[in-house]
Amino acid sequence: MAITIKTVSAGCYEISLDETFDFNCVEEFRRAYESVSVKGAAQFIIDFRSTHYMDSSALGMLINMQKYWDGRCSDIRLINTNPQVRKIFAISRFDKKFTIE
Amino acid sequence: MESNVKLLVVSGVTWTAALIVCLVFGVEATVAVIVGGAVVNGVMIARCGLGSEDKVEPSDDVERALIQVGEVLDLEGGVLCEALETSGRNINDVVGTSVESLSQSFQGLSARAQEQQSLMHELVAEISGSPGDTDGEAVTLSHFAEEVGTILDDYVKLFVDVSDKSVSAVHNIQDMVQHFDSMFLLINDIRGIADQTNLLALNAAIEAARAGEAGRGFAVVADEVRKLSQSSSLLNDQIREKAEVAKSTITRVEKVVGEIASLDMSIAIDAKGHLDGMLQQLENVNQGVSDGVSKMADASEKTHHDVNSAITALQFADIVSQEVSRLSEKISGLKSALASLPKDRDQVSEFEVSQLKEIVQQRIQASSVVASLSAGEADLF
Repeated sequence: MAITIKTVSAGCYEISLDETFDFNCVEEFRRAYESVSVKGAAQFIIDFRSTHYMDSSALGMLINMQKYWDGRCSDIRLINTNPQVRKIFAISRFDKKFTIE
Repeated sequence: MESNVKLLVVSGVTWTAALIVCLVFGVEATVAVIVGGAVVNGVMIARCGLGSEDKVEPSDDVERALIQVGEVLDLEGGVLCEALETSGRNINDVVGTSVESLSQSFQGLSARAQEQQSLMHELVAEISGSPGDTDGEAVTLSHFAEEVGTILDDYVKLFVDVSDKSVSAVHNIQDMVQHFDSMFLLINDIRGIADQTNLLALNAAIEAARAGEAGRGFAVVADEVRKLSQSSSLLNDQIREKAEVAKSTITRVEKVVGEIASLDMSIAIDAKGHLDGMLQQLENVNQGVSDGVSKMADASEKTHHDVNSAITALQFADIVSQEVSRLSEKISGLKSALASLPKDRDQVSEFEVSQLKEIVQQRIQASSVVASLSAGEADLF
């Protein structure tokens, strides 16, 4: 099981990613964030701790996730990003769409 | 005889002193020295006459001395004055010509310095792009860099967009695959119904056979129902077959869309990194050029200033020429003073020491007036 989701506190969920976050994860990642009850979510934390490679489909997945939760949960944090990943987010101006730590 | 020698010595010393003083201190002092020397000579001649009445012929000595003095004055004085006047004119000419050409050169230099400075400013504006020039026609380095940056941003935005749409398409495809899977379940159900119908038709046929002649018509119906269930089963198989082809096609589409969505971002990162590096270098080059040019402009400014100082300083050449003119005037005065000196003994008796003094006084007064005047003019500069 590469992508896991756990409840941190009430309404706060943390999704931990695998070493690579690419097109192969589309289904898994979608299943993770859609598994949360629509009414219950207030905040998502996506942990990039183990991720060292990510391609453009990762950006598509994150945007789709944002669209899915749009209007219901706008607080999506991307944490523990390594320099390479952070560079991708900077170039694609994701730092304006998400909170990156 | 001893006093005659003394007289000659005094006369010689007077002229030598007059020459030196003329060169070093100016004409006024020279006149004073000459006249002073003449007075001393006269006094000595008088003393010779008084003191040696009974020893030698004083009148002869005095006459000879005076003739000698006169000769020396005529010869040396005239020539000297001529030479001094010529020198004065030459100095005036040379100084005038030099000052004029120097002045022209300096003005040319100043103009070039200003030209250089304005060229430098133009160059800087051209390279770095002045803020006023935003009509977009002028291709400046900063403008070019900005354009490239915008294009790269648009490019990144484009493939983020593509990725977003692709992932969205993949989600739809996956939903569709799920629908296919549930469709297969339904197809299975239909197949089950067909099988059961077939079995039912078989049972009906058996029952019809048992009924004998009365069941013959029913046997035909049962046979038809069995045929229908068989063709239904066949159709079901065909539908499943087609649906499976559709599913595998959709799966292939998903793969293609996945390939579209999965672009390696490292190319963009490298491009962005290179661009940032180039922009930084460009910035440095611009800064360097700008610094260099402003230093050169400063240097031009200083050159301009120095040249102006030089031109101002050249105006002092006027004072030099004025001084030389005055010198010439005084030399003329000296010449006429020399000419008015007595030539022989008879004239000596008429020429009194008081007259000499008067001439000296006049000269000194005239020169002091000129000196104060020139001092006042010098203050004006």
